[in-house]
Amino acid sequence: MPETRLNPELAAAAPVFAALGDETRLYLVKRLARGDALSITQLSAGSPLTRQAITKHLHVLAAARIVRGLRQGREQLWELNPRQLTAARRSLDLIARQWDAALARLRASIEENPV
Amino acid sequence: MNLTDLGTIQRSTVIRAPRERVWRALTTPAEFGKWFEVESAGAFSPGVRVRMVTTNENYQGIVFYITIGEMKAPERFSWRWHPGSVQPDPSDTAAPMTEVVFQLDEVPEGTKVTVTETGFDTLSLERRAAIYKENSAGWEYQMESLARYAGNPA
Repeated sequence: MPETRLNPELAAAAPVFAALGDETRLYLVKRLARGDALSITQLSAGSPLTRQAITKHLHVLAAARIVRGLRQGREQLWELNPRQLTAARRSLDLIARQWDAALARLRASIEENPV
Repeated sequence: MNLTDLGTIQRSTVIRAPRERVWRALTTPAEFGKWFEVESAGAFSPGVRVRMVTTNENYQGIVFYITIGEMKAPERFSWRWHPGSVQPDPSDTAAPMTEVVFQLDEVPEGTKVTVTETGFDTLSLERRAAIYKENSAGWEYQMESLARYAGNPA
């Protein structure tokens, strides 16, 4: 499907979901969601994953603009881009509205025919 | 933000009717068809794959299937499906599905119905893009529909 035909906000959200469809990446996002920018050393502490594996996943997240790298002196730090996650959530909300409408129809059909 | 939010949708409403009445509206094909705006053939029972055709004036004649999961009267009804009107190639049996669960709870006003749809995080990029596109297009219609039906929120 040509992406140009999509609502731009929704088109932007699709790669966000794809990038998050992985346990390790979700774990990294959760760690970064606490707010502080972290180094790869900090992100790999307490995790069985190698630094290389974490670096690879961070690059996938960065490509979807979910995280971004910062340089602090000689150290590379990573931080979350909350705007990107909010956009992804909004796209699910569009689907949720269909359920709102379906539940409203369910309620109406029962309350009109209570027996 | 809670990250599990990104794979899950949950919505609920309270209906002024006993659970058994709501259960019937959910699990009797004729009643289900009225509010879900579909026609289907055959009774609902666990494990059965039910063919449905949409009857909504804006989305008429779209064929889709649901596979019934649990039917625990009068509290829990679930199915699995490929969400959205653009269905994956039927030969693609491995295409991930989402699961829809209706939970019915007794509350003083009647019955609380909670629908939870999980598994959006497992869908392929292409399927998501298709679903988002059509949901985006359906937005105006859905709002009208809500305004029409939600006149008396319980």
